[in-house]
Amino acid sequence: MKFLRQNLAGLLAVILIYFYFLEFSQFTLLHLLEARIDSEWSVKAVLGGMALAGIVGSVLAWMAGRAGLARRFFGPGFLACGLVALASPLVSGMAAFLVLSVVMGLAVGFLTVSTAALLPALLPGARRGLMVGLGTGLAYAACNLPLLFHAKPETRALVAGGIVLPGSLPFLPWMTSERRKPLPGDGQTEFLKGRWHWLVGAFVVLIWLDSALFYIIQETPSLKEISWAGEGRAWLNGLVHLGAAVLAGWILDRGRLLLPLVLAWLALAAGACGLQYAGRAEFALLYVTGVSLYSCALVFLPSHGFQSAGDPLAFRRAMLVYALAGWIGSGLGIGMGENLNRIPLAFIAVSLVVLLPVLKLSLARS
Amino acid sequence: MKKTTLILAISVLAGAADLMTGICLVLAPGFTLRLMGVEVDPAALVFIRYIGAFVLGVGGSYLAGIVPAIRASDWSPLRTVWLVTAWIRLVICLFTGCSILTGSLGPAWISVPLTDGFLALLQGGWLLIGPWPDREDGNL
Repeated sequence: MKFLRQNLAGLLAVILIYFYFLEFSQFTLLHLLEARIDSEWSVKAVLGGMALAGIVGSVLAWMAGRAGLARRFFGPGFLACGLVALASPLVSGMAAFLVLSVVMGLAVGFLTVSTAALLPALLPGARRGLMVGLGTGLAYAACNLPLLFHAKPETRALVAGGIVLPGSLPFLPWMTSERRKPLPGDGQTEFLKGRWHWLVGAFVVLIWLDSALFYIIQETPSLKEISWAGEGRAWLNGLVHLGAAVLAGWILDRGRLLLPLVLAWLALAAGACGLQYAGRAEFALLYVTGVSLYSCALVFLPSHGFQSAGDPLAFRRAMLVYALAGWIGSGLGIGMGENLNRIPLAFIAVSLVVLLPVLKLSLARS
Repeated sequence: MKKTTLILAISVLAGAADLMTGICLVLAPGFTLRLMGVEVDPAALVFIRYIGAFVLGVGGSYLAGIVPAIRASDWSPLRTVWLVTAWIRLVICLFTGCSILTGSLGPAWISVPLTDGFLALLQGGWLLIGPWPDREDGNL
């Protein structure tokens, strides 16, 4: 019971932010927009606004973290996310969609960075990796429930808002919390010190691959059919997501900090080749595995090695990885999928070069 | 004006406004609504009294924070009252605002979402970035 009590807030935060991102902010808002405004320009404007606001939100989280104020905005961040999701089926004008996308980008950017940086406070127990994996996996599994996966965008928006809005309540009392300003570098791990830029590069590559492949699967009917179609497939994908995320957490708890990233790249690269060139359904499961493996590490690694929560360096790491890899990397991936309609083998080879330092480091005992 | 005086003034004004409105809605719902410019079916007046009881409850809750702040300089209960009432006011603002926009409530109700929305933002915003007497960073 004590273990659950200690980790409940963290588990809830990880589930909420991933669930919201996957269920609503990634595509649902765009689908709602496309259904109401028939203009390619408007989709690009909303996507651009969201990405820019996401980067600004990440930077704001870093600044709030440095000032020791990030906790206070945690609850209101989820509140804003919930309100945007609930309001989205009601709006119809371009200006309203733009406002919603900017508010959502700010809130999601802030929350992703803050969750990762405040992890020592949110998950103070020993098995932090496992709990992050469980939260990540449960969120992915929930989004793959056939009832939600095949639901209309309006339903998905209402479900996301209906869960995240009340989910913000446990974090609202943090609004009254005192300013906490730990000393920078307090307890930072030597292993990741000075090597964070390599990890940012690795995450850029992984998110780029993921976003491009996801876009290609979504836009290619034959690939979509073998990857997502049918209730059985959705259940299977959900279970694989859950299993892979928990496995990543278990590996991270054992100190193999970079192994999930290497495994994720192998799974994503094999998935991309297999799906595009062989067209076999089994490779979709490799893609699903790769996504969950790196998603768990994405939340876990920025605050790894910090004893106290909210270290400014942890915020800086999280800001860099989410702003560059999360927002820019996914934009580049979607752009690649949109313009090339495939992931070239040359890109996979280049991504391996970017990943080589991480691969080399992972062979050393982390 | 001192910050503590300002916090107390806001609390007294917000609490008293709801307390008085609640009492009026319970005792004389038809008269109170006419003052707001709202026409209501007489059959619905019992539900208006019921809403009045809630409004009275929210307004009265400020006392639970104001009294310890004045008597013992304990500002922590008032901080919690501000947080909880900001949440309640936000929900009321959203519900009534959406109801007005969708036409299920008449435009005469607009004072409700405006007042509650303003106080929700003021209290929530103050808790986030404003000074608070017994918070370590009270003089931010």
